[in-house]
Amino acid sequence: MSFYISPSIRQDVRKAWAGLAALVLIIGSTLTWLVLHKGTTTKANLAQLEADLIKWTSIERSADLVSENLETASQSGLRHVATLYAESETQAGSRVQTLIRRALERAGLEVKSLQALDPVGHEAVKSIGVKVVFVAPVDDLNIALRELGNTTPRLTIDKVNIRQVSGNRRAAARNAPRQLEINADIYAYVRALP
Amino acid sequence: MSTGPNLLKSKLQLVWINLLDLGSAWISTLSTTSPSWLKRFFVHEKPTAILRPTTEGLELVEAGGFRPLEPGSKETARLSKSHHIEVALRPDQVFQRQRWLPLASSRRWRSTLDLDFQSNAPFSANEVISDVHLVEIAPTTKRGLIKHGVCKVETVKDALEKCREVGIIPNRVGIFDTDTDSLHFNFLPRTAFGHFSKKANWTNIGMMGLIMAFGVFSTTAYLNQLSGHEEDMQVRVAASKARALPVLQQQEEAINLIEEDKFLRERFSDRRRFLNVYEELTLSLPQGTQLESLNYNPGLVRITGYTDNSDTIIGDLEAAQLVERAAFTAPLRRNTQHNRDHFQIEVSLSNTSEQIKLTELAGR
Repeated sequence: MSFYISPSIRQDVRKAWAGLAALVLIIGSTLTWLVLHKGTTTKANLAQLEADLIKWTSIERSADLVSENLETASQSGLRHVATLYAESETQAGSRVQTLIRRALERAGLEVKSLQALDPVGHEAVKSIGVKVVFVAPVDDLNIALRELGNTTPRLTIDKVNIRQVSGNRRAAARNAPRQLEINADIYAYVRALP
Repeated sequence: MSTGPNLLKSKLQLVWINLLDLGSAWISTLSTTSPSWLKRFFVHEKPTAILRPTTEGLELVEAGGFRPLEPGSKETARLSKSHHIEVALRPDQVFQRQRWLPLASSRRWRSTLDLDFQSNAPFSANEVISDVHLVEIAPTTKRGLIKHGVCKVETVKDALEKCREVGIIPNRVGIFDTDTDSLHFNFLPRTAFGHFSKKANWTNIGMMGLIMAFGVFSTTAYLNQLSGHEEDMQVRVAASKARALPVLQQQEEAINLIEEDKFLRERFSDRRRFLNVYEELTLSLPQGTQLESLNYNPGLVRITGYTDNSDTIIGDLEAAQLVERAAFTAPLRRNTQHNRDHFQIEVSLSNTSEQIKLTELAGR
């Protein structure tokens, strides 16, 4: 059998061979590109995966060191002494008020007023504050301040205003001790707040 | 009457036929114009032997005349094996006519001329077999002189039967044209691949196929190997990450604790805390001094009171380690009753104060 073909195509041999060359070029370059692209992409992915594996493996290997660091950090005496554990701001505020009240009671003094202050956020810990007002004889002020300074966890006295509320000449005549009114913002550092 | 989908279907069929025409024309052009070395690579070049069916059997057409072929003879076997066999029918066995037609594919010429023939001849399409042959082209009119040949199926079957009896399978059945000294038409069923398969150099084609298969296989294997390695790495990375994440969490926790510890150390090691300031100020004040009020803000203290030693009070205060500067904020007022001076002092606290030992604080 012989093909009787369109003369227009048969005569244009150049076009026929150019078409074949173009077809071979297109198919060949497409296949080459696909193979190269696939290979390059996979190699790049492999390089990334190897880098990731090195990273994660090194982290994995540092488990003992990290664990040791965590243990050391969690055993810090300062943290246990200087911070209060509470689950909420309300609970923390209540505990701070109790701490202040008991400290002053140990000094033989009574709290005149307690008012919660807005919590102050720090990067690591949060401060829960109370504005406290109490009256103390001048001789008991040092005891009161020492008691406030020796609580566990520690309290931080931030702003203080001490003024004399009695002790004029008539009081002096009665040998009555001078009375001081102490107005202070006292804070405790709190951990584990949500 | 044709409906929408049917119309679309017939149009698609037309497009398909045109594509087939173009493809076959293209391949034919390439095969006929390809260089001989390329042809030899794919096709066994065989000499052509032309046979003529007679009432007794088959005759071999030679330069000097005709020679009958004996069934099962060595010559018959040799011809069958090493020659391209063509069977030439007698011209009176084929109806021939010529027409000038616009340039088109052979399929279209044949279908056009077949339709014309069958509308005028007393034969059904099943009873005859046809083919076309391009005689010449008129470039000015862009038309071709097409020779149309129609042969009865019985005639072709008879020729094939004679070939079978002798033991030969012909490659072509047509009529001999004395002008061009070649065979025109081919009335054998049109199976292009079957015709090619008889002449193909399967060793070379097979080798080429093997090389290509090897290339494809090796490329695929290489890519599969890479993919497998990638998958393996992904699994390993995922497993390592799963083990490392808790460590990272612990590390973050440790960093938080360390930062918290650092923060607390800074806060509690600052000597300008109120209790330290209060203690140092009260110890620094000279004898005969009585405080009336004290106002402490971080870094600054304001005190008021009475003193017997107003000349030395500033100096005494500034001698304290925590005090950077002390100054009266109001003129001294003499209280004649107590014979003492009333003062108002502002004390600025030092920025670079000595840090207390933290262990001391923790142990307190």
